[in-house]
Amino acid sequence: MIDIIIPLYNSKTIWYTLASIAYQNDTDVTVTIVDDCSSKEYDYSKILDFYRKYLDIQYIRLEKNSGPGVARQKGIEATHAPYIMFIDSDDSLGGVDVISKIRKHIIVEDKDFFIGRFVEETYNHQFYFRDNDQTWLHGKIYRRKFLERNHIHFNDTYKNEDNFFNQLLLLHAPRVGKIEDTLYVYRNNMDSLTRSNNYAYNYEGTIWYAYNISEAMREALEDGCDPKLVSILGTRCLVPLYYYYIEYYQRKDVSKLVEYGSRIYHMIDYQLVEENIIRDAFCSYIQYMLTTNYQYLLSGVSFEDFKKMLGDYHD
Amino acid sequence: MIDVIVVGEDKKIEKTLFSISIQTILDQIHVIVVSEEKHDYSGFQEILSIDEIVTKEKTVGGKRQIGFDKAKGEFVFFMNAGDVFFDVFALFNSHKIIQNYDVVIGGISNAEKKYSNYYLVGNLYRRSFIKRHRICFCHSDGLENGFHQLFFMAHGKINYSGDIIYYQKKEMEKDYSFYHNLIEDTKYAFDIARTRNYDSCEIAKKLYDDLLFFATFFHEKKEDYQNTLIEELKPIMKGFYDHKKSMREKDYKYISDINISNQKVDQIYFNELEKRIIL
Repeated sequence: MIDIIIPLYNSKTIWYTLASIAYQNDTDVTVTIVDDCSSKEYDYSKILDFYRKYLDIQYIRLEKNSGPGVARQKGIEATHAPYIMFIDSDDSLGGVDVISKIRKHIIVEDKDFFIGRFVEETYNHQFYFRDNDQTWLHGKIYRRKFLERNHIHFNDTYKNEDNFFNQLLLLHAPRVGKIEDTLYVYRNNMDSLTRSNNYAYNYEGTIWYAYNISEAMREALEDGCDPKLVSILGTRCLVPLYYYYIEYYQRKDVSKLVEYGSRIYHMIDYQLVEENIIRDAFCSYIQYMLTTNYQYLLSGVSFEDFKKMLGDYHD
Repeated sequence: MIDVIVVGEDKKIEKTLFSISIQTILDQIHVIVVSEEKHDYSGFQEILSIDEIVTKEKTVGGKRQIGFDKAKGEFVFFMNAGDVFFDVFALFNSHKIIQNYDVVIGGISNAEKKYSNYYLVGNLYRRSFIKRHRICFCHSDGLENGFHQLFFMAHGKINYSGDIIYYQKKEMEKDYSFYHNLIEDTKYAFDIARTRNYDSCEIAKKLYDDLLFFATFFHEKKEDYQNTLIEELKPIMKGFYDHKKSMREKDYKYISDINISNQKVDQIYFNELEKRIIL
């Protein structure tokens, strides 16, 4: 009933991802590991032989490195259970009853997409609980039929590829269920350290963010999705894009950000978008305002200026 | 360092070991497995610091004692083979609140319901306190082998964490041998406490607490073997009134409030039982 797909690239921690599945009180799942062409010194055969005694594990190796998106997509194609869950190879499941709780929800509720809670553990043992998140794949369960029927798929980007998948999914208006329990632990995150200090990562991430949102919108429109949903997504995303622009325009090449941002801008039908959407988006993305340290006040570039820049830009 | 002592012959011990290996504070954990025959844990040696002690000792309590004697860490945690930690944060949650305490009592969950535990598994103990008061295990197959009762009588500082730490697939079957073993453990604990001259008031409190405990179970299920059990309890409860003199009114009230409100003991039934057992 449940497929667990784990993309893998040079992972030293896959053993605890698998341990967190093996200790479940319900282990009736199929685990599919997709090795995105890990380097030769990473030999997983010993670990896999060990865990095969306790779990049903399938291992696929890609010929060349293709990114976590493609790896997960190959995982989807190599499996067939009605529901799919993704786990990263440096994360783990939460409690001992996660699978059994998920199974109860799947059986009882007729939904295409379940959003469960996940907890982010930082390198210094701080915990952040994430409820109602719509960006990450963590703690989410997907109905295969819905993905297939609506061509929901991963692309070949390496960042925000999860955001692309989730936004494309949401634009097709799935029936969404909520699972209150903590399903997933985003572990021991050196990332949370690097994310704030390493702005090269952030900068690149923002380009891929803009690209993947514009691609999700484009495909959704081609698929005949509700243009109102597409316009709302695009409008909301202009807000963080604006803050990214303010943060980087004086020290980085922001031409790609503007190019992809303008694609988003031109796909929005402003008549379909109510005024409060922009207001709500500013409220939701308030953390960006704070991280840019009010630069936007001094930059002389208002949100309206930014939108005009996107509107004037042509490929 | 925390020594996690795993005892029992359950085939599902690997689940226990997996649940230890995913703990967020794994680098502070050392595992001691005590069993009657040698097993191959080489697969686990890559991910866990683990020692196995093979012994001819047959009782659960005896094995726990062997495991405890081998422990070197600041804290100890006992598990039954086949049980697991409830989630990846279990030991972290208990460990972070144990400064200034001698034990953190963790909640136990099973497949049907969640419930609190005061007895042994699920609790994180400070090893130096145990050693100082020479708290030890009865060589029996009971729930807690007198250990936690002795801890209570030695007046260890207790922190009730309220977090669910531990998961057992099934609760222990509460049949005659369960209660019989518990009574054996209780007898053992009181014998040791009296020989070591533990505080009379603490002994009285524990005796009273146990009496209420048994009263609840007897009240819930009136089984044929109840009379046998009550006879077995009598010699332990003898001398309760001597100890009771050193109990203060507020201790008496405190213990009865906890037991009666938590377990809904019928006061009238309890009074009758008290008369039968103690007189």
